Amino acid sequence: MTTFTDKSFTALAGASYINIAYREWGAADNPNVAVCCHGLSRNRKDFDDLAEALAKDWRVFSVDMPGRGDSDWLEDKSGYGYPLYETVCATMIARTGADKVTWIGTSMGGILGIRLAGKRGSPIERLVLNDIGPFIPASGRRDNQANFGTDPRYASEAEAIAYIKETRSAFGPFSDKDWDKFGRDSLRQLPDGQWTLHYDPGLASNAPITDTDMWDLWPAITQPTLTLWGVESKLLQAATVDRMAKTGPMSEIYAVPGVGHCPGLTAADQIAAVRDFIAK
Amino acid sequence: MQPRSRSFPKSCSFQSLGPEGFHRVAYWEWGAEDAGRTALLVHGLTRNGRDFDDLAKAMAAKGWRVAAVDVVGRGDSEWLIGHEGYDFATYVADMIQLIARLGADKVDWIGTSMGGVMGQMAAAAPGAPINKLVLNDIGPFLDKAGLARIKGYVGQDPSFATYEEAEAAVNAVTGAFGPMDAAQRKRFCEVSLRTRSDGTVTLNYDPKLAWQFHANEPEDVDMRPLWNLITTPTLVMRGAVSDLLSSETAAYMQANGPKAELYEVPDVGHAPALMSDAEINRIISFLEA
Repeated sequence: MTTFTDKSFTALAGASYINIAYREWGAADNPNVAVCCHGLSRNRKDFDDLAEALAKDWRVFSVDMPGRGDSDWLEDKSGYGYPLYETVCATMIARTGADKVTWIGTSMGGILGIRLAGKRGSPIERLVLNDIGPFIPASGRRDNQANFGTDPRYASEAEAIAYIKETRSAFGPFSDKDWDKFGRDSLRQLPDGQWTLHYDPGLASNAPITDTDMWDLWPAITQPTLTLWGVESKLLQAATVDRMAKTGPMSEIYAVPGVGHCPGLTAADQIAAVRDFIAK
Repeated sequence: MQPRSRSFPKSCSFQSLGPEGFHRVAYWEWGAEDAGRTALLVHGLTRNGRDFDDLAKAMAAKGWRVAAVDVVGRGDSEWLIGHEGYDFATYVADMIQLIARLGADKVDWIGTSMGGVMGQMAAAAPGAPINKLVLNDIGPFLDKAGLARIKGYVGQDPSFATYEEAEAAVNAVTGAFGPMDAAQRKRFCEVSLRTRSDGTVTLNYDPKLAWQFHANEPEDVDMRPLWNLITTPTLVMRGAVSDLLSSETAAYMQANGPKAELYEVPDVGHAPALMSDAEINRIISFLEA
């Protein structure tokens, strides 16, 4: 078992500061650096298996976005959003000490990769997008956010894990052990002994869910890009995948059959696809 | 590990997220990477990190890792494309990313003039990654007389045919900086200037950064509400004949907010150069206390 270290840094959130948690693997003097960023309601622990597999050759960082995992929650919930997350991600990249990094983003973390990679002077040199692209249909977003922000309570951890498994069944493919870890990583225990989700329920907004169209950002990306695609995904559609492969960075595509949103990055073939791509 | 003793700093940089995407922020690093304490040194409006060579070298010898930043548009840092990004929001955001870059949880922040305005802004919110604050000839109230004087020279983009001519021009507008011996004054000029590809000499900053001075008539700047939010232990260095930091403001700083310690540098205006043993020792003893 490769060891990791949990650390943190201070980031600017508007006119205040927040503490941001991250997990680090690999040799401190390794110049090959990858930064992993999770999906909407997830956290840094989703990349444990991938990072462990990469750590021999890579220094890997995985960061909790504000309101998730061990990062601070905002008092003013209106501060949650991409401008803040971009600042946090840029500060994370600065923190690594590397001049250039590989960005590995699942879902929301991939949207951040798309937003950051195309900016002038971006320190991102390579992009891995996990089941996300420049176009996300409102129907898929609605489906993905069906249980987001409901702030449930469970009497036991097992009951809570069962709920996670039921509502996140499109992730995978997962073994029973993977589901246990995925479930545990999704939870925190309250002082009264009950279990709830790890993230701030205040992340959910009442804004109407519309199509997300970032095709204007796509041509600005010149970095080598790999897209993992859960073929059953409701967020990343076949037509989007096709256009991602033919335009802009002309993404390589790794299709994961039988999986929806999104590939879990625990299966050996998915890990190998990422490892082979970033080694190029 | 013994702190390395160097007479020249390591040139470093990182890409900072700002209003135009990412821009390169250069910083000059002194001391051992694994030193117990980290200091961030932030210069004045048109200056750059090399102003702090003497202070940084002394602090490195005392066990600090020191980063003397070139704020965007100055020294070796990138120039922005437009002028609007040259503002305190950009500068403070750059500094917080730099503090993360340094791997430090907290830094000792030493800011001259503009660098001290930034320091006050950065220190005012809870959870600031700042241990102690040293403000060099700057406070929460800036007299418009001093700002008007700065407006008179800043951002003019001059072109000098010879180095000597350029040196004379630097000396003409920075005469109040001090005390400096002849060698220090010579280096102060050197780091203030750069030679263009056509051989002419100009100033080592982007003239666009002065846009706010030229967009408005000088007014007193009152940041005292901000001052009263600061709880960070603070030392203020004041040039005894400063036209930017009045003795009244210095007294206010001693009585309010973090209740700053005050050290006055005799016969000097805006701003103390932080190059004399007396100034350097006062800063180090404050930080070590």
